[in-house]
Amino acid sequence: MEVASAKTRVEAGAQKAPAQVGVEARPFGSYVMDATVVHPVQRIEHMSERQARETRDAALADLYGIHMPMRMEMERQIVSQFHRLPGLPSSHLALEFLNNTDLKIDFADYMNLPSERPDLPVIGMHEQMEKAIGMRMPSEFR
Amino acid sequence: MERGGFSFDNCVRNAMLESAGYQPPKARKTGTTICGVIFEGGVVLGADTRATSGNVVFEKNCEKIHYIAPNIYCCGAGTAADTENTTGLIASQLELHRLSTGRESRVITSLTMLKQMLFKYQGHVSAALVLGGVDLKGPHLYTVYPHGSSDSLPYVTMGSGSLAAMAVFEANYKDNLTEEEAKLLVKQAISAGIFNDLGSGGNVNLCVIKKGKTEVIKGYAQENPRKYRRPAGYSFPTGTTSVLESKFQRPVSEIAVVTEVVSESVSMET
Repeated sequence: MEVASAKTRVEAGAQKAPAQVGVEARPFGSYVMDATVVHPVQRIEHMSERQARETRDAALADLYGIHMPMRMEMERQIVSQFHRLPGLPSSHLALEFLNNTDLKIDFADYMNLPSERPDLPVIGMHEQMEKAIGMRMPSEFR
Repeated sequence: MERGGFSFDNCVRNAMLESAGYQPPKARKTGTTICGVIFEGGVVLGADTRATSGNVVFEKNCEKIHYIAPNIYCCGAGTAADTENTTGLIASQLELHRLSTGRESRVITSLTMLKQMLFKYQGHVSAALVLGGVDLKGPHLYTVYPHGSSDSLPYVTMGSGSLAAMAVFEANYKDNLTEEEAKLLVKQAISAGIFNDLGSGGNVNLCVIKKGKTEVIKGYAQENPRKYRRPAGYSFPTGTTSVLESKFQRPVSEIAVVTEVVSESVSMET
């Protein structure tokens, strides 16, 4: 866990001398949520996709000229616009194909899916129907 | 495209607790002995069966040899959930790849997929693996470290019992082993881990992969059989544990129409 903000560092330093006093004097309510706390894996997830894209675009530009990554990006922008009727999720097959992710599976494909999270609002037709006929997780488990 | 991924929901809370002076729980030591050896025309993988959490044995007969492809298997050491999910992910991806190409998976493909994924996570996915398989290029054996590096050797060991197992290999390995010799050598190596490493124990599981034939042998050697079982048994009359509360939930079959889909039985290679 990395704690990056200056605020927290000052607090950590101040706690050294009267450690117990510092803890008791500050109940949780007085702590401000620190938005700069980032797990290293979170940073990896955030950066790796961009890095991969930049590497690929640079290689394409070196091989075929700058027009190639530009054209492909344009194509990607076009196919990412395709949508089905409201409430139905698009498969984005063409986009997956262009991104070369159509035959790939990673953790994001099956872990912690928004549609299966009990703490998020139920959106999507399948989930709404499951909720209507009581097939979703009972509310006492949420 | 619906995307999930790792959940970082508790990170801010944990940092807050830490800055308030709470000690975060320490990472627990993992323990395992896994190994593999190449013989004439194939690979033998071996694993112990003890799962621990700190110094508590949680499971005496767990499975550490994971399926990757019909011709590729993988032993996992490290965080059990990580090895399980890592191998499952690569197995699924190779299945897709086979459906797309119509060819038998190659060991080097699974190795590259594994190490690229592990390198991406910089060791946070704690999976130390022994990967073995037979493809059109013959038998292959690799170790993959949690940070994404790998070794290719004729005999490899991994986990906390790797030193004990490697000692046996270093003493007894020779080139062009027969299948039976290889199985015995792997059994001896895992037994060395079971007896000399406190993180390893239980039985010896083996996996023998040959061209066109894979065999997973559970309980090849039972090193720690149960010595005594109470002859009278342990049956308790109903109601020994008092019921404090009970609740009835309507089964899904009463709310919705549930049809059982009988698929053609596919024989697994295990």
